[in-house]
Amino acid sequence: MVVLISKPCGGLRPITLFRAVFRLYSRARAKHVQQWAKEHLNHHAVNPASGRQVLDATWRLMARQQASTKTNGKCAGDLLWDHRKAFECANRAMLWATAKRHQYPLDILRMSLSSYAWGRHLVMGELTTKQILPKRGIAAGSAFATVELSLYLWDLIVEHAVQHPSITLSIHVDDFSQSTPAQGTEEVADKLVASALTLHAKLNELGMPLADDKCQLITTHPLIAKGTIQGLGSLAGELSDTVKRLGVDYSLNNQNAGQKQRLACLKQRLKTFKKIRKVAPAPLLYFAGAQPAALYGSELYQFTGAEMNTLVNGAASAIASHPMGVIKHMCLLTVHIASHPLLQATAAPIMRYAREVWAYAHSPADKKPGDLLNAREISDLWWAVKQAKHPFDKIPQGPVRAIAPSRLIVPSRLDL
Amino acid sequence: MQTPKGGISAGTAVLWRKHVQVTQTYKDFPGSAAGRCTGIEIFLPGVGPTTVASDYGYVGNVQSTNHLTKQSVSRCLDSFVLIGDFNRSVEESTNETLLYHRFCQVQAWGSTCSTYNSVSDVDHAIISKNSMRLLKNTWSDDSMLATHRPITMELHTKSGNIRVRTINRTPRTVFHPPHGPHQSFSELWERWQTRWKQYIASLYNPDQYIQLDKGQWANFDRLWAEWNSLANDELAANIGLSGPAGEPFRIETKTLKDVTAKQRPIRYRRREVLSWIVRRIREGTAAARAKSAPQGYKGKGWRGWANSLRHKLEPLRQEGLIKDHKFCTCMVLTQLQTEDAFLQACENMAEYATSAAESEQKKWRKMQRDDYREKQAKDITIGNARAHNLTKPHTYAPPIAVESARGASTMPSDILADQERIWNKWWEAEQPGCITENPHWDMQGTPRQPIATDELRDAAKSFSASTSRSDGWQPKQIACLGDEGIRALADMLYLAERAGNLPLACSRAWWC
Repeated sequence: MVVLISKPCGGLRPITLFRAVFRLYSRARAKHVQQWAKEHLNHHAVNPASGRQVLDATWRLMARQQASTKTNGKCAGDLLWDHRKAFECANRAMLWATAKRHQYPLDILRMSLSSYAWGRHLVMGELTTKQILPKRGIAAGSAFATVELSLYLWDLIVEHAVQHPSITLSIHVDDFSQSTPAQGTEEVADKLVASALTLHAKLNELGMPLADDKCQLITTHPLIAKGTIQGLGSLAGELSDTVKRLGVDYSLNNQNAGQKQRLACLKQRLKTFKKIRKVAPAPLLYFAGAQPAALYGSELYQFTGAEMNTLVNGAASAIASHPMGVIKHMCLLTVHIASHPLLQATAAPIMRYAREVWAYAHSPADKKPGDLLNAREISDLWWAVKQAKHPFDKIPQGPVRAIAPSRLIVPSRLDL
Repeated sequence: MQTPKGGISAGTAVLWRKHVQVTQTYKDFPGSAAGRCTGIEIFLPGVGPTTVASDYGYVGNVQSTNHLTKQSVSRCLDSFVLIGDFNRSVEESTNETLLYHRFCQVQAWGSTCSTYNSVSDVDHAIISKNSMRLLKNTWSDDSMLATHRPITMELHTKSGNIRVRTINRTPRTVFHPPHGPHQSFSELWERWQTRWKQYIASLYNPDQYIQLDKGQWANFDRLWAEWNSLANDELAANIGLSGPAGEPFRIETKTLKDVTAKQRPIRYRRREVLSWIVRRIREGTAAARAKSAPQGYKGKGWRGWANSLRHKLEPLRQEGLIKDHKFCTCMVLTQLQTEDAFLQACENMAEYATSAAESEQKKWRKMQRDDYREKQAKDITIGNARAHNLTKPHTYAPPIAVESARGASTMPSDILADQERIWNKWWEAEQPGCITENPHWDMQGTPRQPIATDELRDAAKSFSASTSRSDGWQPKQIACLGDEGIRALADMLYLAERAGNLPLACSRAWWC
């Protein structure tokens, strides 16, 4: 059964719902696939790999760029590609051959491939179509689909890393990002063009078309953009100052891209919370829904005083305990400190930095993610943070701008 | 009409072409005295009587607009289209529709109203869900008006007879395993194990990767179906599993009219039936008083009128929507010979049916209101996805019109046909009649260890309590089977893994 769900921007997206018994089988056998992925897909280009957070690639990229301002130049470029129907375009025979080469659990893959060949019915509400027997692709909705897609692209990732070591490739399911910092504008453009042409040729071999209308290019200098567009043509996509990268605003320029949209959405949700309170108190909806949604990407963003107020007021109005005669903000004392929006918003950038330091210091040498900041970069990043002066509005969006104000709030013991 | 600032506005109006069958123009529609609302009743073939009303909301007074619209909607028939300049946003209208207790939704045209310094989506429509199914296309054009773009909606009024395929889906429910002792089905499972062992013994080299022939697949399929049936029985006894789960999907071909009718609850449909009877009786009464025959019915007059009553009510009685005595009274009306007796009987029946319809409507509204409140409070307390959706800002992406044989259309059946075409291409689907064998993925070596009973049970338990259950099973429910049932499933999955596929029972649908 393939359910067609509406996309927020219009159109429909198919999600395959498998039978319960097959889902149970997939869950029971998933650990073998995860184990294999842990051992074999250990390249930082695979962003959904275990042990990584969704925003790891973006944070490290921005951190590296901001840290490098001390030692290197400020030129950088990032080319973002999106695939058209990535799951549907995977060639099953090629996937099987790749799996054989990389010792993927073949018996599980065989079951999985058989399940993709089962008859499908497109469903919209109660209406359905006649049975469709697909001969190509894998199915979004299968427990194995994302690992299988990473496996399908694995040879491409490894070859690209060898051919273009200075380009940071990051793949999140079907989103590709190629970025590089360098000393000069020409160097950046040349590197991006060479990498993109190689990658495009490989993707063509795999039969995966690009969604040309979703390709985006962001650069620190117009000359880089010009050089890249000359070399790539339509593959360079649309030139932007700020793009959405895995849900967060991402900019290489001094653009103060922020989470305005998220906070505006939170404000609207708070209005609904007021109405909902008449039916039942909704602390869960706020602390597990609205607040995490508003704070997503907070490790890259500095919240203003007004935004903090919105978050705190929201938490105060959402909690269940409002004893008579107690002011709203005093009721917040009943909220667990770890869930307090003020702490979460302030601590997120520092906690993310601490995680990087911890990963560098404690991960075994052979298990370290390839894109982890090295000691020099970590040190340079902190140097950049200490150089930041109040007001921080002139600093480009990124880890430095996020950590600098948090550092002023959290005790100065951090200034090692 | 006079505006609050002292200006004059033309108010509202409904115009229709000659071919449209208008059965009533409402004189006492809410807001009609102030010129803010005009309503008519038209007859749409395949759908029935439909209220079409034009509404004009109060500028800067959302409360009054809400009140006016709510009154208008409550005055409308089951099938209705309320369209106009509501002077409130689509989001506000969407939130308000929840309070109407009607099966309706908001249709937007985007920002069609522009003022000196802003644009807004105050021009939109509220449509009953059964009318929504007929929505063929919507568009907005440029006009001479400086501020508003006229909004247009096209209904495909004969779509009621379009034949569509439907699938039976089990709605998502929250499952919590009950406490207490379980009834044992050991004897039945032992018998199943005996049959399974016989089957396994018939396979060549059962502990290696194997390729099953047609007969062996058929036997595997049969044993799978038996397991499914036994598991259903055991869980029906122990956790109250309702309905057969894990069976092939049941796909039926119905008319779109039937699909929309089935979506409405029985009390709502009872009211619809009783209202329909009242209308037919009034038609008859009017014709008898005018010494003529009822209009329509393909010119068959009284005979057509009586046949319509008889043919329509018989299946409704069988469905339980009207009781026997109501059916008999209506049938008696078709037999009466004298005019006085007929008029008296009609009056009695119309009075009775009207009050019965109102009573059914009240019951339905109360039931729906109570259910809705109770469900909403429960959702909010546990904080499930439905409750989270309640708090999220309203986003509306209008359906994109697709090309159909009848021109551009946004009807779900046409959209689905278009999607089928698109995905057939992407999936390189097999053309009907030329079924090719799936490639055989050759396996060598020793198979991995079978899934242990505890492992399978733990995996089932790890599913969320509210996981969807498209085929009737919720994976978590399988954890409530006894050891014998889970062991049997583990055995079958082990064989499936070595054979490379699950049996046919898992990948086919029934056609009815």
